[in-house]
Amino acid sequence: MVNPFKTVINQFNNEINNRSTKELNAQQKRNLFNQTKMYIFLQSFIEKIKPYLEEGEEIHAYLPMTNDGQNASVVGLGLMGMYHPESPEAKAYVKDFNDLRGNRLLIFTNKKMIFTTIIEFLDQRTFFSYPYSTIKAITLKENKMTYFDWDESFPPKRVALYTYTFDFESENHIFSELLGQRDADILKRQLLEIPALQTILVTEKIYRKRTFDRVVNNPILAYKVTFYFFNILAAIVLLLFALGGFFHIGPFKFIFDLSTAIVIKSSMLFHLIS
Amino acid sequence: MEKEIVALLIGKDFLGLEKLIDLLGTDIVKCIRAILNHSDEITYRKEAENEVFYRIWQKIDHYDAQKSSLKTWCLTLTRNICLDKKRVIIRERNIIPMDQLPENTLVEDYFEKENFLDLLKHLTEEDQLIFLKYYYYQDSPNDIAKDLKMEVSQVYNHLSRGRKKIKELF
Repeated sequence: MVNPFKTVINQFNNEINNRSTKELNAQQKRNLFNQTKMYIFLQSFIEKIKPYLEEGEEIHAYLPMTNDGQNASVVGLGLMGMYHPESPEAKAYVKDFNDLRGNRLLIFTNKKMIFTTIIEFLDQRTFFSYPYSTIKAITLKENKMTYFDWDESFPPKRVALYTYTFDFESENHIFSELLGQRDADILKRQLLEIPALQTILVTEKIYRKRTFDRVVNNPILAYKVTFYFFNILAAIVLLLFALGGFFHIGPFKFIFDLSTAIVIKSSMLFHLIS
Repeated sequence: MEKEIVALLIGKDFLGLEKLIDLLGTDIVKCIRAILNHSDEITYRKEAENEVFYRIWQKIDHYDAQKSSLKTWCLTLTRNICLDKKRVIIRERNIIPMDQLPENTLVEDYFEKENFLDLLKHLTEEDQLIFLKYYYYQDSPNDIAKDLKMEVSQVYNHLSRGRKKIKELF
Protein backbone atom coordinates (compact mmCIF):
# COMPACT_ATOMS: atom_id res chain seq x y z
CA MET A 1 0.00 0.00 0.00
CA VAL A 2 1.25 3.47 -0.89
CA ASN A 3 2.05 5.57 2.17
CA PRO A 4 -0.03 8.77 1.88
CA PHE A 5 1.89 10.55 4.68
CA LYS A 6 3.91 12.90 2.48
CA THR A 7 1.01 13.69 0.14
CA VAL A 8 -1.25 14.72 3.00
CA ILE A 9 1.45 16.78 4.73
CA ASN A 10 2.14 18.54 1.42
CA GLN A 11 -1.58 19.35 1.20
CA PHE A 12 -1.27 20.97 4.64
CA ASN A 13 1.65 23.01 3.30
CA ASN A 14 -0.44 24.16 0.34
CA GLU A 15 -3.27 25.17 2.64
CA ILE A 16 -0.88 27.13 4.85
CA ASN A 17 0.56 28.87 1.78
CA ASN A 18 -2.92 29.68 0.50
CA ARG A 19 -3.98 31.16 3.84
CA SER A 20 -0.78 33.08 4.30
CA THR A 21 -1.14 36.83 4.49
CA LYS A 22 2.54 37.40 3.93
CA GLU A 23 4.01 39.01 0.84
CA LEU A 24 4.43 36.51 -2.04
CA ASN A 25 8.03 35.36 -2.18
CA ALA A 26 10.20 35.74 -5.28
CA GLN A 27 9.47 32.20 -6.48
CA GLN A 28 5.70 32.61 -6.06
CA LYS A 29 5.85 35.90 -7.99
CA ARG A 30 7.86 34.26 -10.76
CA ASN A 31 5.35 31.38 -10.96
CA LEU A 32 2.47 33.84 -11.08
CA PHE A 33 4.21 35.80 -13.82
CA ASN A 34 4.92 32.71 -15.94
CA GLN A 35 1.39 31.41 -15.52
CA THR A 36 -0.36 34.70 -16.36
CA LYS A 37 2.06 35.55 -19.15
CA MET A 38 1.25 32.30 -20.95
CA TYR A 39 -2.49 32.79 -20.35
CA ILE A 40 -2.40 36.33 -21.78
CA PHE A 41 -0.33 35.20 -24.75
CA LEU A 42 -2.65 32.29 -25.56
CA GLN A 43 -5.78 34.42 -25.24
CA SER A 44 -4.41 36.88 -27.78
CA PHE A 45 -3.10 34.02 -29.95
CA ILE A 46 -6.58 32.51 -30.13
CA GLU A 47 -7.99 35.92 -31.06
CA LYS A 48 -5.55 35.92 -33.98
CA ILE A 49 -6.73 32.49 -35.13
CA LYS A 50 -10.43 33.33 -34.98
CA PRO A 51 -10.50 35.41 -38.20
CA TYR A 52 -9.43 32.28 -40.10
CA LEU A 53 -12.51 30.37 -39.03
CA GLU A 54 -15.44 30.08 -41.40
CA GLU A 55 -18.74 31.75 -40.69
CA GLY A 56 -20.63 29.79 -38.05
CA GLU A 57 -17.56 27.76 -37.16
CA GLU A 58 -17.13 27.32 -33.42
CA ILE A 59 -14.12 26.21 -31.44
CA HIS A 60 -14.91 23.18 -29.26
CA ALA A 61 -11.55 22.37 -27.71
CA TYR A 62 -7.80 22.84 -27.81
CA LEU A 63 -5.25 20.06 -27.68
CA PRO A 64 -1.82 21.40 -26.72
CA MET A 65 1.37 19.55 -27.60
CA THR A 66 4.84 20.23 -26.22
CA ASN A 67 8.35 18.81 -26.14
CA ASP A 68 8.49 18.21 -22.44
CA GLY A 69 5.40 16.02 -22.11
CA GLN A 70 4.35 12.73 -23.56
CA ASN A 71 3.96 13.98 -27.12
CA ALA A 72 6.19 12.97 -29.99
CA SER A 73 9.02 15.47 -29.80
CA VAL A 74 10.71 14.48 -33.06
CA VAL A 75 9.34 17.57 -34.85
CA GLY A 76 10.07 19.94 -32.01
CA LEU A 77 13.59 19.03 -31.01
CA GLY A 78 17.00 18.85 -32.65
CA LEU A 79 17.29 19.70 -36.34
CA MET A 80 13.55 19.47 -36.94
CA GLY A 81 12.91 21.82 -34.04
CA MET A 82 15.08 24.60 -35.40
CA TYR A 83 13.48 27.75 -36.69
CA HIS A 84 14.56 31.23 -37.63
CA PRO A 85 11.90 33.75 -36.61
CA GLU A 86 11.57 36.74 -38.91
CA SER A 87 8.64 38.84 -37.76
CA PRO A 88 8.94 40.98 -34.60
CA GLU A 89 5.99 39.04 -33.15
CA ALA A 90 7.75 35.69 -33.57
CA LYS A 91 11.03 37.10 -32.27
CA ALA A 92 9.23 38.41 -29.17
CA TYR A 93 7.68 34.95 -28.68
CA VAL A 94 11.11 33.30 -28.72
CA LYS A 95 12.41 35.87 -26.24
CA ASP A 96 9.41 35.65 -23.91
CA PHE A 97 8.80 31.91 -23.95
CA ASN A 98 12.15 30.43 -24.94
CA ASP A 99 10.48 28.18 -27.48
CA LEU A 100 10.93 27.51 -31.18
CA ARG A 101 8.83 24.72 -32.65
CA GLY A 102 8.04 22.97 -29.38
CA ASN A 103 4.59 24.37 -28.62
CA ARG A 104 1.96 23.12 -31.04
CA LEU A 105 -1.79 23.35 -30.95
CA LEU A 106 -4.57 21.26 -32.43
CA ILE A 107 -7.92 23.03 -32.44
CA PHE A 108 -11.20 21.17 -32.73
CA THR A 109 -14.03 23.15 -34.32
CA ASN A 110 -17.44 21.87 -35.35
CA LYS A 111 -16.16 21.55 -38.95
CA LYS A 112 -12.49 20.69 -38.87
CA MET A 113 -9.27 20.26 -36.95
CA ILE A 114 -6.68 23.02 -37.25
CA PHE A 115 -3.07 22.27 -36.50
CA THR A 116 -0.47 24.94 -36.02
CA THR A 117 2.97 25.40 -34.58
CA ILE A 118 2.75 28.59 -32.53
CA ILE A 119 5.87 30.25 -33.93
CA GLU A 120 5.02 29.43 -37.54
CA PHE A 121 1.59 30.95 -37.16
CA LEU A 122 3.02 34.10 -35.60
CA ASP A 123 5.61 34.40 -38.35
CA GLN A 124 3.76 33.41 -41.50
CA ARG A 125 0.20 32.64 -40.41
CA THR A 126 0.83 29.01 -41.39
CA PHE A 127 -1.64 26.36 -40.26
CA PHE A 128 -3.10 23.11 -41.53
CA SER A 129 -6.81 22.49 -41.88
CA TYR A 130 -8.23 19.01 -41.68
CA PRO A 131 -11.98 19.10 -42.47
CA TYR A 132 -13.77 16.17 -40.85
CA SER A 133 -15.35 15.33 -44.22
CA THR A 134 -11.90 14.42 -45.61
CA ILE A 135 -11.01 12.02 -42.79
CA LYS A 136 -11.99 8.39 -43.33
CA ALA A 137 -10.69 6.97 -40.06
CA ILE A 138 -8.96 8.08 -36.90
CA THR A 139 -6.45 5.86 -35.15
CA LEU A 140 -6.50 5.98 -31.38
CA LYS A 141 -4.39 3.19 -29.97
CA GLU A 142 -3.50 2.76 -26.33
CA ASN A 143 0.14 1.89 -25.59
CA LYS A 144 1.08 0.63 -22.17
CA MET A 145 4.51 0.93 -20.63
CA THR A 146 5.42 -0.10 -17.12
CA TYR A 147 8.17 1.08 -14.83
CA PHE A 148 9.20 0.71 -11.19
CA ASP A 149 8.14 3.69 -9.12
CA TRP A 150 10.72 4.39 -6.41
CA ASP A 151 9.29 7.78 -5.44
CA GLU A 152 5.84 6.83 -4.27
CA SER A 153 6.43 3.40 -2.78
CA PHE A 154 9.13 1.30 -1.24
CA PRO A 155 9.76 -1.47 -2.24
CA PRO A 156 9.18 -0.06 -5.72
CA LYS A 157 5.89 -0.89 -7.33
CA ARG A 158 5.35 -1.53 -11.01
CA VAL A 159 3.33 1.37 -12.39
CA ALA A 160 1.67 1.53 -15.79
CA LEU A 161 2.08 4.57 -18.03
CA TYR A 162 -0.36 4.94 -20.88
CA THR A 163 0.30 6.77 -24.10
CA TYR A 164 -1.94 6.93 -27.15
CA THR A 165 -1.10 6.93 -30.83
CA PHE A 166 -3.29 9.48 -32.57
CA ASP A 167 -3.18 9.34 -36.32
CA PHE A 168 -5.30 10.21 -39.32
CA GLU A 169 -5.04 10.97 -43.01
CA SER A 170 -6.75 13.97 -44.55
CA GLU A 171 -6.40 14.23 -48.33
CA ASN A 172 -2.62 14.17 -48.94
CA HIS A 173 -1.69 15.04 -45.34
CA ILE A 174 -0.86 12.61 -42.58
CA PHE A 175 -1.13 13.71 -38.97
CA SER A 176 0.55 11.52 -36.39
CA GLU A 177 1.12 12.27 -32.72
CA LEU A 178 1.68 10.59 -29.41
CA LEU A 179 -0.68 11.69 -26.66
CA GLY A 180 -0.58 11.45 -22.89
CA GLN A 181 -3.57 10.39 -20.79
CA ARG A 182 -4.92 13.94 -20.34
CA ASP A 183 -4.55 14.75 -24.05
CA ALA A 184 -6.27 11.49 -24.96
CA ASP A 185 -9.17 12.37 -22.65
CA ILE A 186 -9.61 15.69 -24.48
CA LEU A 187 -9.63 13.85 -27.80
CA LYS A 188 -12.05 11.16 -26.62
CA ARG A 189 -14.45 13.83 -25.37
CA GLN A 190 -14.40 15.54 -28.79
CA LEU A 191 -14.98 12.22 -30.54
CA LEU A 192 -18.14 11.84 -28.49
CA GLU A 193 -19.36 15.43 -28.52
CA ILE A 194 -18.68 16.84 -32.01
CA PRO A 195 -21.39 15.50 -34.35
CA ALA A 196 -19.15 15.52 -37.46
CA LEU A 197 -16.50 13.49 -35.60
CA GLN A 198 -19.02 10.91 -34.44
CA THR A 199 -19.43 9.64 -38.00
CA ILE A 200 -15.70 8.94 -38.43
CA LEU A 201 -14.46 5.43 -37.77
CA VAL A 202 -12.18 5.24 -34.73
CA THR A 203 -9.85 2.29 -34.93
CA GLU A 204 -6.65 0.88 -33.46
CA LYS A 205 -5.25 0.25 -36.92
CA ILE A 206 -3.66 2.78 -39.24
CA TYR A 207 -5.75 3.81 -42.20
CA ARG A 208 -3.99 4.93 -45.37
CA LYS A 209 -5.44 5.32 -48.82
CA ARG A 210 -2.20 4.36 -50.63
CA THR A 211 -0.34 1.12 -50.04
CA PHE A 212 2.98 3.00 -50.01
CA ASP A 213 1.83 5.12 -47.05
CA ARG A 214 0.40 2.04 -45.34
CA VAL A 215 3.95 0.63 -45.19
CA VAL A 216 6.24 3.65 -45.09
CA ASN A 217 4.16 6.22 -43.19
CA ASN A 218 2.81 3.90 -40.57
CA PRO A 219 3.92 4.71 -37.00
CA ILE A 220 2.52 1.51 -35.50
CA LEU A 221 4.31 -0.66 -38.06
CA ALA A 222 7.50 1.38 -37.58
CA TYR A 223 7.29 0.86 -33.82
CA LYS A 224 6.70 -2.89 -34.23
CA VAL A 225 9.58 -3.26 -36.69
CA THR A 226 11.94 -1.36 -34.39
CA PHE A 227 10.76 -3.26 -31.34
CA TYR A 228 11.12 -6.72 -32.92
CA PHE A 229 14.38 -5.81 -34.70
CA PHE A 230 16.14 -4.82 -31.47
CA ASN A 231 14.68 -7.74 -29.54
CA ILE A 232 15.79 -10.23 -32.17
CA LEU A 233 19.20 -8.55 -32.34
CA ALA A 234 19.57 -8.81 -28.55
CA ALA A 235 18.55 -12.49 -28.67
CA ILE A 236 21.12 -13.25 -31.41
CA VAL A 237 23.92 -11.51 -29.48
CA LEU A 238 23.03 -13.44 -26.32
CA LEU A 239 22.96 -16.68 -28.29
CA LEU A 240 26.41 -15.95 -29.76
CA PHE A 241 27.73 -15.22 -26.27
CA ALA A 242 26.25 -18.51 -25.06
CA LEU A 243 27.83 -20.42 -27.95
CA GLY A 244 31.17 -18.75 -27.26
CA GLY A 245 30.98 -19.40 -23.53
CA PHE A 246 29.66 -22.94 -23.44
CA PHE A 247 30.85 -24.49 -26.72
CA HIS A 248 33.76 -22.22 -27.58
CA ILE A 249 32.47 -21.56 -31.08
CA GLY A 250 31.31 -18.45 -32.90
CA PRO A 251 32.64 -14.86 -33.09
CA PHE A 252 32.63 -14.27 -29.31
CA LYS A 253 34.62 -17.36 -28.32
CA PHE A 254 37.77 -15.25 -27.74
CA ILE A 255 36.07 -13.39 -24.89
CA PHE A 256 35.84 -16.62 -22.95
CA ASP A 257 39.41 -17.69 -23.72
CA LEU A 258 40.79 -17.28 -20.23
CA SER A 259 44.13 -19.03 -20.83
CA THR A 260 47.41 -17.06 -20.95
CA ALA A 261 48.14 -18.32 -24.50
CA ILE A 262 46.42 -15.32 -26.12
CA VAL A 263 48.46 -12.87 -23.95
CA ILE A 264 51.74 -14.64 -24.80
CA LYS A 265 50.83 -14.67 -28.50
CA SER A 266 50.08 -10.95 -28.59
CA SER A 267 53.23 -10.01 -26.60
CA MET A 268 55.35 -12.13 -28.98
CA LEU A 269 53.79 -10.36 -31.90
CA PHE A 270 54.54 -7.00 -30.28
CA HIS A 271 58.24 -7.98 -29.82
CA LEU A 272 58.51 -9.15 -33.41
CA ILE A 273 57.17 -5.84 -34.72
CA SER A 274 59.37 -3.71 -32.48
CA MET B 1 7.04 53.24 -10.87
CA GLU B 2 3.28 53.12 -11.60
CA LYS B 3 3.72 55.31 -14.67
CA GLU B 4 6.44 53.07 -15.99
CA ILE B 5 4.31 49.95 -15.45
CA VAL B 6 1.31 51.51 -17.19
CA ALA B 7 3.46 52.60 -20.14
CA LEU B 8 4.96 49.11 -20.48
CA LEU B 9 1.54 47.47 -20.25
CA ILE B 10 0.09 49.80 -22.87
CA GLY B 11 3.03 48.86 -25.09
CA LYS B 12 2.10 45.18 -24.52
CA ASP B 13 5.47 44.47 -22.98
CA PHE B 14 5.57 41.51 -20.59
CA LEU B 15 8.13 43.38 -18.52
CA GLY B 16 5.22 45.58 -17.42
CA LEU B 17 3.35 42.50 -16.24
CA GLU B 18 6.41 41.32 -14.32
CA LYS B 19 6.77 44.71 -12.62
CA LEU B 20 3.04 44.84 -11.89
CA ILE B 21 3.19 41.42 -10.21
CA ASP B 22 6.20 42.55 -8.25
CA LEU B 23 4.37 45.66 -7.06
CA LEU B 24 0.77 44.52 -6.67
CA GLY B 25 0.86 40.72 -7.11
CA THR B 26 0.49 40.06 -3.38
CA ASP B 27 -2.48 42.42 -2.98
CA ILE B 28 -4.26 40.95 -6.00
CA VAL B 29 -3.67 37.36 -4.90
CA LYS B 30 -4.80 38.19 -1.34
CA CYS B 31 -7.96 39.81 -2.69
CA ILE B 32 -8.71 36.71 -4.79
CA ARG B 33 -8.11 34.42 -1.82
CA ALA B 34 -10.31 36.55 0.42
CA ILE B 35 -13.27 36.48 -1.96
CA LEU B 36 -12.91 32.92 -3.25
CA ASN B 37 -12.34 31.55 0.23
CA HIS B 38 -14.64 28.54 0.38
CA SER B 39 -13.28 25.05 -0.08
CA ASP B 40 -15.36 24.67 -3.28
CA GLU B 41 -13.80 27.79 -4.72
CA ILE B 42 -10.10 27.12 -4.10
CA THR B 43 -9.69 25.30 -7.42
CA TYR B 44 -10.98 28.39 -9.24
CA ARG B 45 -8.35 30.73 -7.83
CA LYS B 46 -5.78 30.11 -10.56
CA GLU B 47 -8.46 30.77 -13.18
CA ALA B 48 -9.34 34.00 -11.41
CA GLU B 49 -5.66 35.05 -11.27
CA ASN B 50 -5.32 34.49 -15.02
CA GLU B 51 -8.52 36.38 -15.77
CA VAL B 52 -7.57 39.32 -13.54
CA PHE B 53 -4.18 39.85 -15.14
CA TYR B 54 -5.61 39.34 -18.63
CA ARG B 55 -8.31 41.94 -17.93
CA ILE B 56 -5.66 44.37 -16.65
CA TRP B 57 -3.60 43.71 -19.80
CA GLN B 58 -6.61 44.38 -22.00
CA LYS B 59 -8.12 47.34 -20.17
CA ILE B 60 -4.99 49.23 -19.17
CA ASP B 61 -5.82 51.85 -21.84
CA HIS B 62 -8.86 52.82 -19.78
CA TYR B 63 -6.87 53.44 -16.62
CA ASP B 64 -6.92 57.08 -15.56
CA ALA B 65 -4.27 58.04 -13.02
CA GLN B 66 -6.28 61.18 -12.16
CA LYS B 67 -9.25 59.16 -10.92
CA SER B 68 -7.54 56.47 -8.85
CA SER B 69 -4.25 54.85 -8.05
CA LEU B 70 -3.16 51.80 -10.03
CA LYS B 71 -3.62 49.69 -6.90
CA THR B 72 -7.25 50.80 -6.40
CA TRP B 73 -8.03 50.29 -10.10
CA CYS B 74 -6.49 46.80 -10.15
CA LEU B 75 -8.20 45.74 -6.93
CA THR B 76 -11.59 46.98 -8.17
CA LEU B 77 -11.14 44.86 -11.31
CA THR B 78 -10.07 41.92 -9.17
CA ARG B 79 -13.09 42.19 -6.88
CA ASN B 80 -15.48 42.39 -9.85
CA ILE B 81 -13.95 39.36 -11.54
CA CYS B 82 -14.00 37.37 -8.31
CA LEU B 83 -17.62 38.24 -7.64
CA ASP B 84 -18.52 37.17 -11.20
CA LYS B 85 -16.57 33.96 -10.66
CA LYS B 86 -18.40 33.37 -7.38
CA ARG B 87 -21.69 33.73 -9.22
CA VAL B 88 -20.53 31.35 -11.96
CA ILE B 89 -19.52 28.76 -9.34
CA ILE B 90 -22.89 29.12 -7.61
CA ARG B 91 -24.68 28.61 -10.94
CA GLU B 92 -22.45 25.68 -11.96
CA ARG B 93 -22.91 23.94 -8.65
CA ASN B 94 -26.56 24.84 -8.49
CA ILE B 95 -26.30 26.18 -4.95
CA ILE B 96 -29.70 27.26 -3.68
CA PRO B 97 -29.95 30.47 -1.65
CA MET B 98 -31.15 29.91 1.90
CA ASP B 99 -32.15 32.38 4.52
CA GLN B 100 -30.58 31.27 7.76
CA LEU B 101 -31.80 33.95 10.13
CA PRO B 102 -34.41 32.51 12.46
CA GLU B 103 -36.10 35.92 12.82
CA ASN B 104 -36.65 36.15 9.07
CA THR B 105 -39.18 33.38 8.71
CA LEU B 106 -41.15 35.28 6.11
CA VAL B 107 -40.29 33.96 2.71
CA GLU B 108 -39.84 36.81 0.32
CA ASP B 109 -40.96 36.36 -3.27
CA TYR B 110 -37.80 37.85 -4.72
CA PHE B 111 -35.76 35.42 -2.70
CA GLU B 112 -37.35 32.41 -4.32
CA LYS B 113 -36.85 33.70 -7.82
CA GLU B 114 -34.12 32.21 -9.96
CA ASN B 115 -32.91 35.67 -10.86
CA PHE B 116 -32.01 36.45 -7.26
CA LEU B 117 -28.37 36.07 -8.30
CA ASP B 118 -28.82 38.65 -11.05
CA LEU B 119 -30.60 41.03 -8.69
CA LEU B 120 -27.52 41.03 -6.49
CA LYS B 121 -25.60 42.81 -9.25
CA HIS B 122 -27.47 46.00 -8.30
CA LEU B 123 -25.86 46.02 -4.87
CA THR B 124 -22.48 47.44 -4.00
CA GLU B 125 -19.46 45.14 -4.27
CA GLU B 126 -19.30 44.72 -0.52
CA ASP B 127 -23.01 43.97 -0.21
CA GLN B 128 -22.80 41.46 -3.06
CA LEU B 129 -20.00 39.64 -1.32
CA ILE B 130 -21.85 39.56 2.00
CA PHE B 131 -25.03 38.33 0.32
CA LEU B 132 -23.23 35.60 -1.60
CA LYS B 133 -21.42 34.42 1.52
CA TYR B 134 -24.50 34.59 3.69
CA TYR B 135 -27.22 33.20 1.45
CA TYR B 136 -25.34 30.77 -0.76
CA TYR B 137 -22.50 29.51 1.39
CA GLN B 138 -24.33 29.73 4.69
CA ASP B 139 -21.49 31.60 6.35
CA SER B 140 -22.50 32.93 9.74
CA PRO B 141 -22.47 36.74 10.22
CA ASN B 142 -19.61 36.22 12.69
CA ASP B 143 -17.51 34.47 10.05
CA ILE B 144 -18.35 37.10 7.45
CA ALA B 145 -17.39 39.87 9.86
CA LYS B 146 -14.10 38.13 10.57
CA ASP B 147 -13.39 37.62 6.84
CA LEU B 148 -14.17 41.18 5.88
CA LYS B 149 -12.66 42.70 9.03
CA MET B 150 -15.82 44.49 10.20
CA GLU B 151 -18.24 44.40 13.13
CA VAL B 152 -20.97 41.75 13.19
CA SER B 153 -23.58 44.50 13.52
CA GLN B 154 -22.29 45.99 10.26
CA VAL B 155 -22.86 42.67 8.50
CA TYR B 156 -26.49 42.69 9.68
CA ASN B 157 -26.83 46.29 8.52
CA HIS B 158 -25.50 45.41 5.07
CA LEU B 159 -27.88 42.47 4.84
CA SER B 160 -30.87 44.52 5.92
CA ARG B 161 -30.02 47.42 3.60
CA GLY B 162 -29.40 45.06 0.70
CA ARG B 163 -32.68 43.23 1.23
CA LYS B 164 -34.55 46.55 1.17
CA LYS B 165 -32.84 47.58 -2.03
CA ILE B 166 -33.59 44.25 -3.72
CA LYS B 167 -37.20 44.50 -2.62
CA GLU B 168 -37.46 47.93 -4.19
CA LEU B 169 -35.94 46.64 -7.43
CA PHE B 170 -38.19 43.62 -7.44
